[in-house]
Amino acid sequence: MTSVSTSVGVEERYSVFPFYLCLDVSASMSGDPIQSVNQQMPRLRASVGEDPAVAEVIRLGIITFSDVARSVLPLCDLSLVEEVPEVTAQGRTSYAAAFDHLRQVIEADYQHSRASGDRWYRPAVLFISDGRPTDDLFQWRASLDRLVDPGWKRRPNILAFGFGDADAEVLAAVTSSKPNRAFIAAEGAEPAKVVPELLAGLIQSIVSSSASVYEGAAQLTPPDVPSMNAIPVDHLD
Amino acid sequence: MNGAGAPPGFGRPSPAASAEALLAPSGDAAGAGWRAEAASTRWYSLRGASVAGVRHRLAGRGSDDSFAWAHDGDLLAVAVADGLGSVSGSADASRRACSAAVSAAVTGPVEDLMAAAEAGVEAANRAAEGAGATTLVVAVADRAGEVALARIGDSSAFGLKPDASWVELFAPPDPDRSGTATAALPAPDPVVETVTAGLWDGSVLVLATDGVADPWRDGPTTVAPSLVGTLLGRPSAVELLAVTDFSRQGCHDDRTLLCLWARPAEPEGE
Repeated sequence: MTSVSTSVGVEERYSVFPFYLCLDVSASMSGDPIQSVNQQMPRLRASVGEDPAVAEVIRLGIITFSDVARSVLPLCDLSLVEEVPEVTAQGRTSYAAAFDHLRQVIEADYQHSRASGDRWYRPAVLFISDGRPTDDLFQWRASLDRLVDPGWKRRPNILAFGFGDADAEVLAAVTSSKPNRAFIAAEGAEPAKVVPELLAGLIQSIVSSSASVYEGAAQLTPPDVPSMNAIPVDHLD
Repeated sequence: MNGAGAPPGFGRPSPAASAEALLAPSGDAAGAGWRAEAASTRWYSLRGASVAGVRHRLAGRGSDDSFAWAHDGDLLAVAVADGLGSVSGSADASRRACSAAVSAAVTGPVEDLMAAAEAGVEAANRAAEGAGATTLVVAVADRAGEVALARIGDSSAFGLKPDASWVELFAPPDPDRSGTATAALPAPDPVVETVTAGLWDGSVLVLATDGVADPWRDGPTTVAPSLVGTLLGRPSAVELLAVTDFSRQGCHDDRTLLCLWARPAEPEGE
């Protein structure tokens, strides 16, 4: 196909890299973990702003999930955000609610964003949980399948992080068992130590991934979190 | 340009584009962040400009892009190349590839412009070996205004008509692509794309790295008409440099433009 001025549309397009921070706020997160989250979040804006060119392509949305999922910070340009909202812990751990919400929000955000002239790099979901899903296996797997459906063009890349009672096998499944995409806290690591490290690492991951847009090969860069280990991926028999 | 006023804004402005660049610990004219050329042969006028991308400037780094030309007898060869930032040594690879491509192309077979252009890519591929990786687009023009182009990767070429319409000469990337990976030199068996064009009707040939080509496509009501309008006016080197340094949100790659116009025929002996 050749681009010709007379046949090209009048749509202006600006490349952006959307990130969705999908955070477990079930009751087990109460105390130090949720407090760490609320302390770290305001640092996001400052860290992103250190590279003004990179800041222009980052779009961030924050989703929390427990019994239900909701967008506490709709996908936005962080430079326009005055305050990152605080989150509170309550309820159970419905992975299905998180995946269903992500599927719906990503599609809606894409359509809205596209209409205003944005071109997306493949969205990234940064999934954080301290527990096993409380919904049944069939339900959350069906929701996950819809989120990562190969036939859906907006399907996100997912990085998953677990601590506390999180299950390594479940997290590996969330990332479709792709190497270096699922991480679990080292044995004995306290959530109070893991969460601040993880959030600091994720901020760096968002910045590094977005910076790669300008390096000729946009990629999702996993964070370096000393107290977490990559979940190994087995060969299929 | 920085220090002399805000760069021209095409669409959503970029605050980062107006920020003062960081001076590198050392440097020289060849590696300067802003480079331009404006000169003519008997048959053609050439304008070229290359600016370091905003992120490189803010980090005190130079551009990974290059452009080059060579003419010999009836042939003029021009090339632009974009060193891949993700591979160490790519700025030098793009320079080596450009220089080798134009040198080989003008010494190629005059009667077969496409063979000359492809010889340019082969020479560039050899020159790029060692360190780094680079895209390349090379064009060879004869005195009749016929042009053959060959490329590797996502640098591209545009043809501008005097009525301000334009055409991208190579196939543009898939608009729904979600990555930026591109083919590059050196490669053991590079897949070369080729195309022909003509400049005998007053058209302008524009070679561009993706730092220009991407926003050109993505800015059909801002970037494209502004660049086309400027280029049709046969800008000075300074004017071309200024317009190449346009401000646009999220567009911070190195940028290189190289333009060719056929000159009106002169009576023999003048």
